Amino acid sequence: MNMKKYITYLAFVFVLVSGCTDEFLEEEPRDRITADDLYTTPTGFENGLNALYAQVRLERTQDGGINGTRIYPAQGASDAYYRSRFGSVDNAFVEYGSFLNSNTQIVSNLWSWLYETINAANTIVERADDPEVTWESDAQKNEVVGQAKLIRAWAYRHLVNLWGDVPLTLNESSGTTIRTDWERDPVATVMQAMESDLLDAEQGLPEQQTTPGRLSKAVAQHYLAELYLMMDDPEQAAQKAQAAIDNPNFSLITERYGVRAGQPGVPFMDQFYDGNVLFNQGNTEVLWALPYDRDVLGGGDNVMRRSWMIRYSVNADVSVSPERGRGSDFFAVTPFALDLYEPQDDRGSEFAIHRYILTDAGDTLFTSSEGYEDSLAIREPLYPSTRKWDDGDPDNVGTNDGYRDQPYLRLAETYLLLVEALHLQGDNAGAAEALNTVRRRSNASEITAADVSIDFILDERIRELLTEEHRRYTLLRVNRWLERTRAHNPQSAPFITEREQLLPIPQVVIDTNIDRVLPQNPGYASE
Amino acid sequence: MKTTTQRYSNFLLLCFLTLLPTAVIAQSEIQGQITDMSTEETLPGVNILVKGTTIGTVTDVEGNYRLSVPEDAETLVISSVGYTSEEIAIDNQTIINLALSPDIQSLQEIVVVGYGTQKKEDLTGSVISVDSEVLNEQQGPKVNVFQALQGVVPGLNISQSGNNAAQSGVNITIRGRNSIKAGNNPLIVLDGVPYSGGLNEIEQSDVQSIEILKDASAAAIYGARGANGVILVTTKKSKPGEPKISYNGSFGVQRIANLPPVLNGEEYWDFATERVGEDVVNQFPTLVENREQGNSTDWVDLGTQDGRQQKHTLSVGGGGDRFRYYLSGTYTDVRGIAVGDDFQQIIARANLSLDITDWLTLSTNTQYTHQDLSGLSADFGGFNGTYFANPLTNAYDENGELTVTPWPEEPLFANPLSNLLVQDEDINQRLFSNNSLTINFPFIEGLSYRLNTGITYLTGNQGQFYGSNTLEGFTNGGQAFTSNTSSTDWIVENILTYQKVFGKHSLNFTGLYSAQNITREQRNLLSQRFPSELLTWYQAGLAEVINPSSSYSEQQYVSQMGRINYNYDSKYLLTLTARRDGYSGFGEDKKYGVFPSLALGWNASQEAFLSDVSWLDLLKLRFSVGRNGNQAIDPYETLARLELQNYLGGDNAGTTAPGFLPATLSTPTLGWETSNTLNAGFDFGILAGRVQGAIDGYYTRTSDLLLDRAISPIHGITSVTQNIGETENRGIELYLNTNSIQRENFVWNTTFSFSHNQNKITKLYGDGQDDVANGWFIGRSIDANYALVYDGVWQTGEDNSLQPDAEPGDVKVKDVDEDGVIDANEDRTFIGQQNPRYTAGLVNTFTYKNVSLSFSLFSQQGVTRVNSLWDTDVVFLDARRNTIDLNWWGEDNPTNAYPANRNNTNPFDVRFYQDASFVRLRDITLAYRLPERLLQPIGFSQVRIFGNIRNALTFTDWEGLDPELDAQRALPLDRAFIVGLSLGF
Repeated sequence: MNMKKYITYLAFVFVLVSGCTDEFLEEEPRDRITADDLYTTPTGFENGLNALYAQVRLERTQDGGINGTRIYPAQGASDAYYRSRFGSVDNAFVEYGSFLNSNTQIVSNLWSWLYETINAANTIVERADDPEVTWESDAQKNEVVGQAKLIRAWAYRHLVNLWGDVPLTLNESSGTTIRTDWERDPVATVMQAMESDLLDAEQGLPEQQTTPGRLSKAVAQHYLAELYLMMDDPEQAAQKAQAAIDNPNFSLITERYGVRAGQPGVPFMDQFYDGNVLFNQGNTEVLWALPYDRDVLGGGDNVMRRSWMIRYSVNADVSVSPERGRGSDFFAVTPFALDLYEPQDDRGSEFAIHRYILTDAGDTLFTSSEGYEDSLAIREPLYPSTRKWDDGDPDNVGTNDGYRDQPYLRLAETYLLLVEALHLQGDNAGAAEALNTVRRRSNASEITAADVSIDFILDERIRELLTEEHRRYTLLRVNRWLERTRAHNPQSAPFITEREQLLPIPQVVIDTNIDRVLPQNPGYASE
Repeated sequence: MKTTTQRYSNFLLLCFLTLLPTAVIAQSEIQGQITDMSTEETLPGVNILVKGTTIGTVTDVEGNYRLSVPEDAETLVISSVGYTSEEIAIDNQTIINLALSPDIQSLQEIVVVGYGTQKKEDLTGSVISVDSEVLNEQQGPKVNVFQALQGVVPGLNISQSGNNAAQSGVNITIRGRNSIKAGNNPLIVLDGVPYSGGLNEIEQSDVQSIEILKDASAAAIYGARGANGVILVTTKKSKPGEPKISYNGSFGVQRIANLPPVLNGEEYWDFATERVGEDVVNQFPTLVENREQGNSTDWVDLGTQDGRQQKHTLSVGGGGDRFRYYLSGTYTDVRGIAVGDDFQQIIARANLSLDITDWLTLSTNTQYTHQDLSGLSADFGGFNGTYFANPLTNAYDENGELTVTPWPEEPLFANPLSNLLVQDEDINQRLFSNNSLTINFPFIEGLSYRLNTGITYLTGNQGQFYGSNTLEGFTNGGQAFTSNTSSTDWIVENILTYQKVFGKHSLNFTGLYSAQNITREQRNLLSQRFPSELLTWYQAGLAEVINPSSSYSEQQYVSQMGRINYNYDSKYLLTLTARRDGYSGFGEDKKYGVFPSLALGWNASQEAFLSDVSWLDLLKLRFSVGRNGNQAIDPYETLARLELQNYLGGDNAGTTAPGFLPATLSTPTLGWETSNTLNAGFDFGILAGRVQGAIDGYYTRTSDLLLDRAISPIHGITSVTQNIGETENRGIELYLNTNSIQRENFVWNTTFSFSHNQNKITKLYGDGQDDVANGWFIGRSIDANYALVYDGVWQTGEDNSLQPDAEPGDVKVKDVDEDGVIDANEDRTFIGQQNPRYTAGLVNTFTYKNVSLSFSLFSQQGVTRVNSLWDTDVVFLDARRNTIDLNWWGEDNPTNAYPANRNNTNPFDVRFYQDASFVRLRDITLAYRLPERLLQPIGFSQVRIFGNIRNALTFTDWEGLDPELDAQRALPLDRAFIVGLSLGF
């Protein structure tokens, strides 16, 4: 019979199916990329850096668990900033107490975002040394590593300011080295690592930015100056600040320029207008700019305007202006801060602060903070707010997010770090001169060495850096947070204690550290 | 019962096997006709076999046969599925007619098992078979056939997690959960091929039977995919005969079964002003105006409607000597109870079988589905859902159009109904074709080979356009989205079967070698900002913003399996299986797993010492032990991956700078979860078929659990998947079928099922520590609730030293550890579990003459869940969102039920856990069958009219939308009233 034929057929089928099994089960992803594929060429490292920059830019977005920018805990509650209206800020940062605890979502989100950035930076720093990578030059490699190290230091700056002692990790995480025994390293240790990173960045980075939105040497020097202030080393702080100031690529904006040069305005505000922000758009003052673009992939978005602008359109007969955009006033500037400006100071002028708004009919409605000094009430829709983040979209006036370029770090702040460093060394004359350089361009009055004090410097920082600076870090650095917030912020004054100078370590960080007890910050309950 | 002759394991073969006429010198011819003893109808397709040889034939359409037999032939074996086999001595007769008696003992059934069939009598595993009569006659018509199984099969838990028109929110688990993170859904095998399509694409009236393989032995032949149990769905095959045409049609309406008390405009105003003060509410002109004018918008009502469902199935089946066919077409049309939620489906099926030669059979089971899921429904549970939407805002503008922003001062709130304005087209087409070639080797008796090839091809096309009348469209200048999905799934199985009977020994071997590939590709395109809206999603080229994305995945499987069934005299049964599975998604160092099993059975009632016990029909003891896997690892999951995090570059920072951020850690040793299961049970039948049942107990230990272990965020990545942890799962199941009354005109039949299942975590990370962050606790159920306990409300004047900040009206937290301090961590404790401890089902069918009444009860007990409707502080701090009517605490209402109506009464975020147990009268079906004397004049063979009520009544203490649903701010369940008609020609 045909037995032979059948057996042959059967054998054939079995061989057919069994022939290629080992290769058959190998995975070749076609739609995704792995670390081993990416970090092999300078382009791959550039892609890694792009993600790091995008991480930094997330500072000014909302994280889902909170109204307004995720970085508000670095700014308020403080002498200058508080909640605008009932419910606009999570009570964890208004009334504190049991509202701020180790399970507060905002706190753990902040922590995870910063360490995610650190791991991405560690990956770049470590893999750059892989001999397989084909660097064109040492300079190319040092520039890449310098950027990664600077952003790593930037993340640790947030961490030590918010939590104090934090675990220091400088290595890429991998699936085979998961740790359950982290320890909190003393602030001093972390600051040493930051110093080392920033010094390397200072070496590796170019004198001037090559592409807008990227880092240059001056940013490293700026952060070094601040770090040395934190480390009680005003002498080195002054040196680094001075080095950035002396860089011929940077100078304060003292003249009108750019897209609105022909319209009424002040030089101080020109650097905030979209089209003027980037260094190659004539902005000599910006050390670090955050670029945004509505219609481009990677364009990002921010909620600065929404966070800081009062809801003017709630007023009768006031529509959302396409130029100004729509405010949601999550945060407000305290009356104390608003009252710090001399009448002639450009920084407090109608161009810098919404001193009035126009109705649809063209009538002028003046804004005022009067009567709110001790008030816990809702900021009425005619309360002043900053114009730094005005950002409307004529195509879509109601839009939530903002898409205009923004300065992130300005030379003016470097001057103020220099002021602080000189003052701490007893050089009040030098401090006064540096202060006057900043004040002069905004038509504020000249001051003398006798006027210089820590409190005056703190006031000046509000005047210059309103809504920009990480106010709490500044106040904590000079140990004035508790005192000044109690004095000038009636919302939170009754509630804040020593405890709130640091945030609680997120519970998830403590719970996952199975093999070692990770101590909680004082005053917060923990297991 | 008498001994039955051997049957071939393959159902198809059994029915249609013809054997090669062998050249024999001396022959005689026998002919005759086979009929059904009870109906006296002739029987086609009956096997006639000369005992001890391979000589045989099957009866033709008229029930006639003609067979040449050797001179020395002594006995004919006559057998047919569903009938008791007979052996007839030839004794030189040339005409042998026989009336076969229907096999009333269900124990004689042939049951589909993996890669073949088995006599139920010879089963060693825990397998439950549900036939088409139970599916179609006791239960009403279902959009999703598995809804008809809720409470019918012990150990099979069917639950409804949502109620869309397509009924895609049906969850199936067998014997509870073993896995914590991995899927717990059973493997579904349709006509022998693993099925990954939608459950609603399996048409109820096409189904011949559904078999549920529960224990390790039954499921182990599916190896790395068998740990959650296996469901085998077999569609109808025809027997040779005249074409039988039948029609099944139904029409029904659906009404909302239950709604929570959502506040209307006036109630909302009172609620909001009491909560945050009139000043806050007064700042919103829209609210003030609508309140003054007495307007109120009932958003839930606007988002819902009376639903409608209709379903029509037309089928024809028949065949001749060598060819059988079953063709059917079904049209389903559902208008859901959510406005805009429509579902239409066309299913066409062709089951064909052709005997090319006596030893070669070609067959196909092919189904084509066309599914139309177009249209979006209103938003119920989301940020802009109907439950949260403020009743003092405007659904419609002065022109009667839906508003874009119902609340102009608060434009972040979109209209919950705005989805109705979205143009949405969503069409899926699936071709599922299973083709097999069977060779019965004529030269070795009992040896057959089957080449089984399955191919599934899916294509899905979606187009969506948000015009300027929606918030998305308005803010983005028009938004279009298109998505094209295609997936191809092929499987090739080589199945070799050998069957041999020698004396009282019976041996059956099945071997398998198979390979499978599943490739899926998707392309999406999101585009925004168009010059006009006319071209909807056909204008991506004109868009200012274009954001395409694509994805690809490929999964490969290679498997070998061997099974030996042995029995001695049908008394002592043994099954041994082993399967080796390879899967591409496993980590680099762990590609293959081996899964063995052993099962023993003892048909005690066939022993001599029990043969005198007249009331005992059947007693069978079963025992099995085996290992299964749960392979639930997605493709590429074990590789370290990066995610996109783009930035801007270029001279003016205006072009995309692609960025990649580390997103996962690599896991080269990641593999399957291993479940070792022990099952012991017995089947019994007493009182001449009056009572039949089965009791099973099982114990499963699952190790290598795939867990997303929360790792310290300090790693920059917050979790990693590992094979860690172990669970135990044990349970007991009872199945009972009684014919309590069986008279000529009246029959009362009851099916009762009961399952108890309890899982617990026995190991997590190997260090004895609980994982508080993930909510996993050693020694506790996987679904244990662990939280702070609500302990009432702080009353005026009460000593509040436990919570010194608390004011009267605030939530009181129970001081679980009794240390005098409330701590957000230390005072957490266990509050029941989310999976039922017991489920039970009861189906009663009463038949009086031609009228029958069935009702199905289903109950789950021992479930505790959060009632999210009662969550505090979800209305925003200025009370902009709506809520439900709650028993707020007040000075004049010193209740402990719910805190005061103000913000921040619950600083510890205590949630409300409630008992979600229920008893549901799930299905009532009243049917009338036209009597024979009325049928004949009109030429029908069957006419059945029925009415059905689905979800008739629910008894529960749950104070929310429905205890079965997960989300409580969601589309409610419906109560359906259905009428239908079945015709047979």
